[in-house]
Amino acid sequence: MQKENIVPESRDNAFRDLIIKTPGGRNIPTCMQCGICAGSCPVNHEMDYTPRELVRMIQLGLKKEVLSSNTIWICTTCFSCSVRCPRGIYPTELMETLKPIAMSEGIRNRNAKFDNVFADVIKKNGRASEFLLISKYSISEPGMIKQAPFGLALFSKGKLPLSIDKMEDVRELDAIFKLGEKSVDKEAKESTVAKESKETAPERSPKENEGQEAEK
Amino acid sequence: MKYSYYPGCAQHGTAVDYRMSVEAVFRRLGIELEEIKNWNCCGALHVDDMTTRVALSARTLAAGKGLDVATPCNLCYSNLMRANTALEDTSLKNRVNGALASKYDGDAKPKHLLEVIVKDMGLPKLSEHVKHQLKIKAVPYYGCLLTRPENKFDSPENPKSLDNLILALGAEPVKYYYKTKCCGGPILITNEGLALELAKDLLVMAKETGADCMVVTCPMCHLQLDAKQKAVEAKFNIKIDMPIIYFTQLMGLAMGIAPKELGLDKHLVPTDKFIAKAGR
Amino acid sequence: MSEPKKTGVYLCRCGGNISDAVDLQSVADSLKGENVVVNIQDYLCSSAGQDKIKSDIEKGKIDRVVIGSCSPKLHLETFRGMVKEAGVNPNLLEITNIREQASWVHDKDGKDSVNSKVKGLIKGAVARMDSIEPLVPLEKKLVDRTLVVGGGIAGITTSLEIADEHEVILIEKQPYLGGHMIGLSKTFPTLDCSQCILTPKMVAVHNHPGIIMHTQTEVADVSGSPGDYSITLKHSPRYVDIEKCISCGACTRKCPTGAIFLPFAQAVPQAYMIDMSKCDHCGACVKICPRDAVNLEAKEETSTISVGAVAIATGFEPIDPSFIEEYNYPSPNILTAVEFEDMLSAKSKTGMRLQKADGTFPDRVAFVLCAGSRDFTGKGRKHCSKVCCIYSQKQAQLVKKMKGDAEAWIFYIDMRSAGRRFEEFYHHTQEKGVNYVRGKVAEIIPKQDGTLTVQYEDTNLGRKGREIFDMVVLCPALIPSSGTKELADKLGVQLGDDGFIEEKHVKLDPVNTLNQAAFAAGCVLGPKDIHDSVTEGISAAHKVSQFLGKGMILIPPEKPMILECNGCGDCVKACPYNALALEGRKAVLSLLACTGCGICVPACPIKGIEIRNFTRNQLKAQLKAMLAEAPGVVVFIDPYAYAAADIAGVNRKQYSSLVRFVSLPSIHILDADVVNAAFEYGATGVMLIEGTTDEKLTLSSDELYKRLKKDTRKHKKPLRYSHIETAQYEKLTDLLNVFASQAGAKAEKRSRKEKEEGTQEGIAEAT
Repeated sequence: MQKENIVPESRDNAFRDLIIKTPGGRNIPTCMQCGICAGSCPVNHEMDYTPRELVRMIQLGLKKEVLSSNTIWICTTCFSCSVRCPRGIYPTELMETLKPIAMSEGIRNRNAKFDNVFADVIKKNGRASEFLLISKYSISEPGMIKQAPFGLALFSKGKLPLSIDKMEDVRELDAIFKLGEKSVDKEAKESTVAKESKETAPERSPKENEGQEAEK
Repeated sequence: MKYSYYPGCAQHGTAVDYRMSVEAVFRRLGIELEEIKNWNCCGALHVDDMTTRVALSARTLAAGKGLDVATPCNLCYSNLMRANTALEDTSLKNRVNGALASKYDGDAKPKHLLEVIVKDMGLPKLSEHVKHQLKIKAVPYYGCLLTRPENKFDSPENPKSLDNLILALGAEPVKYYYKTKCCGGPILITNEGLALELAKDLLVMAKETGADCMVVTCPMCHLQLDAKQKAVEAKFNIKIDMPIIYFTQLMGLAMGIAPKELGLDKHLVPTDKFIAKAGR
Repeated sequence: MSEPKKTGVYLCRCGGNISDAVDLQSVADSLKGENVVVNIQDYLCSSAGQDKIKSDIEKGKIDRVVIGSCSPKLHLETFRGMVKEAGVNPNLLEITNIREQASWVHDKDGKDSVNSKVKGLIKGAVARMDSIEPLVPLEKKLVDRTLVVGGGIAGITTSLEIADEHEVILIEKQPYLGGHMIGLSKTFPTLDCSQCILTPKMVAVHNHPGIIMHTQTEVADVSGSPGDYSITLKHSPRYVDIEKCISCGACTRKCPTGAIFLPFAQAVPQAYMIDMSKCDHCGACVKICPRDAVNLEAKEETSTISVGAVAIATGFEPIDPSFIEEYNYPSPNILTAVEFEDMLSAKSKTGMRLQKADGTFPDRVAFVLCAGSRDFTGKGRKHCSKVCCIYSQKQAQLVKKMKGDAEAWIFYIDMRSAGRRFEEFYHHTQEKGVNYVRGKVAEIIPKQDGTLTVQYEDTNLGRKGREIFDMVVLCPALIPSSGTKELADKLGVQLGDDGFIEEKHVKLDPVNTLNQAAFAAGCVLGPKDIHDSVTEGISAAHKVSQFLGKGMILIPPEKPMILECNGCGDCVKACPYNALALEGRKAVLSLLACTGCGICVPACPIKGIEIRNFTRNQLKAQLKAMLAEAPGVVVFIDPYAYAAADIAGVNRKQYSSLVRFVSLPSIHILDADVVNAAFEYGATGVMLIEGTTDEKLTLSSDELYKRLKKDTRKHKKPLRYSHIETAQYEKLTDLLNVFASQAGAKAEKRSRKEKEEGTQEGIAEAT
């Protein structure tokens, strides 16, 4: 993996400040990089950055790397890191905070795909039927065909009903899902605003400015 | 004793055996579980927008109508608990209530069925219903989300309630250091290889204790450890053969309920040898 | 004094610490028109600053001084000494704290609000200065004897250093001297043997004619006052007479249950003892003892001693790491560093051999640092325990020394080997082949074969690791030993929020406490190594000698004056210290027994008692001038809570600049007269904040509050009481903020209402 140098241009302080203000980002400035989060993580080895590194990158405002890292999608949400962190940081909630921001930035991930399918199923039916979930997901993930024998085994035990479990009245959830659209918009907006303001009023060193002027 | 009951989606699908055993056991214990009308999914771990997820749980809690809201699922339980904490933020609460038909004031108490048995009813009372002492060794497996992150009911790292329940049924809870480790359930669909690796670690360690079964409290854990056990065996070329038993099924056996009524024939890992050993 | 009084007001910029937040010139300007001389200096505490005041006095410009500077805790004595030299009564100098309680804590409120607060405080102080009287401190003879509590290296050093000049009574909770140090193997960074350097000191204590030593002894009760304490000691039974026992060991050989034993070979005192939980009272030891030293019927005893000073050296204890559930302590082969040391020390029960539960040598040993330290979640302790980085390296070296091919791993977060000889020690340990991993251990899982799986992230590589060890040594947070708080409360000594004793000044008075007769040394002041404990022991001894050497203790002269008495005896009943008595139908005060709490003031039904320099009229004058500048929240505060406010200042904890502290010897001096006056002069709310832990006072605080609440009800303004110990400075600032905003809101509501009523009245008049 190509690693970029950390330079002022790669740091987005507005992104850092935004994350730190969310409940999932609390106490991040006090991280002492002890690594108990990563040491406790059952799936750390599959992540491109460990939870500790992710927190460090947020301290620095490395927005691009943070949002495109697979770390946030690998997390199993077991909360081991969160209950052990001696500084009161909740990496699990941090991952949850970062997911919708990454999606709104257009960053795609296989896990994001499943989450979208899941949310759609609930939006329509109010409940998650395993059969529906798997069949919908399979459309976009052809590899799922390998799961057919497993599905059959469940089916034979009566554990995979083909009838779709539905709420009697699912309309009540409409307003709830609207909430989500709003809050993704809001966070995305804040995030782009931050980006714009950075572009329009860059915190450049005097030296750089000199260089530019010389070019002109 | 009466609770508002929030079964969660799995009870209508892969956890049909869990549902059967809950119904059988709670009826005999005289604990009324009144199912919430028109209940909705809690969003599990897959509705990424937190406001939406909190709202989904808030709707459920509001439907509790003053009763404690009991649920058999670790995932649902953790979402309900976390929603309560998140709603301490009044501006979020106002936003969420704006989307709810009946408003939630934040004072419903979510309870996992294990908590209902161990804390509300109490194990001495359970002992009165035990007809057969189960002479078996069992692995108490809590999973991650029963005690984390809201560890109000038992310790996040070393909980004891399920151990004590197993003990009250005459069985022996073995020392199992992995009792709250992740089973891989949440990533089963999206990252099967990794999910199976996590399940394997748990199953191998459980096997090492020499226990006769592994007791679980969550449909997701059950799916991972029971239904996927064969896949674990195939992938890692090992033999596990460990029955995965819901705690309600274990209670049912001790209470003298027929295995079939408890859905024990619906497991993918055969349970007959285990049932025989348990003295039935 | 026949000439008119003239006060000099001196304001200190404190090199910007004050002047950056407060416009001192405008404060000075606001005093125009008052009968004062004003001067501003960069550093008043400097000789230039002090000389200015001195020369103004000597030139006859002023004869009283108000200083606006840092907390009086820091320089009051210096300034008072200076004016005394210049011929002014020390009492006629007072300090208004405009740094810790103003410039450092009101960043958010804007300069105007802080300026107006400081103006009010100074005007109040000037008004007060106009009315107070010169007083001469009372002198009381000191008891020339010191109690040293704790027989570890700090207490031993303190005792030996004092004992040539003043008598010492040294008490120790354990049955032997030496504290934690006697349980150490080698000591870093020199690796010399702990008992070899400590035993001679313990013997010296035992043999010193000026030291009386009691083991198995604790402080049960403290009465009296600084310089003249009467302390009750509680002695647990040893069942063997230390004086008679000659350590022949005959008893042990006869004992069928192993209940009678010598704690360890070098123990001081050299005497056997009985563990009663093992004794079956067969009496074999009693019969065999050639010196008749055994007494199975011994009971707990108490004795009372009289001392002038107390040195607290009660040390530390390791936190019990079982609360860190992921570490699975206690389990076989998971031990604390203290248990590891014990195994290799004079107290060893394994013949000074390092061994696992099965008796064999551990070939792979892990040291886990920061077990319960640096934790801000409330589960562990916030502080760094300081010594673990070095001692774990020493322990790792010992492992390597005992078996060359054994492996020793140290799991650390930050390797803190600061100070002389320690980086070299770190380097040397690296050379020995000890394996360092930067990462806090995530979990320790015992396996059936007795080995332990340790899981962690190597944070230097960003990779998770898993290793199998034969033994894991946890380096637990070091915390004050149990009983520290009880002892501190008995002596009126303050603790920090970490439970360690609060120094009089964190940097400049490191072994003094806020109680002038109580001193501290060693780990009761915070985790530290032997070198630093010894240094503090020597320092504390010096401070004790200096204190006792004066022979006299000055008692603050702010005592009750009985101006009028009808002989009702209410004050006698009210006084919790038995300092008042009726003689010939008149109340008479015993100045030496009186603590100056002022509880007798509101007790007197005819208002015949006043505290010197805290009379009702003096307090009212101060309040009037202070609140005339701008209204605010008046907070009456006792010296202990005042210290909490100072700590809040040092930590820059922000709170509302409406807060106006009025310092009192104790809040019990107050009655409705003063509180009503505060309301009348414009206070939007009044708070009483008490910090003393003296139950003789706090037991009646609730009653005081209720009485005041009732008697000031007519103002309909908020009145609140709170108890804040010195350590709870965060709670203090939270309370102040909440109260200030409540009082503010209430005041606003009231003024709106008055306005409305006012217009209505206007209309009524018009019609």
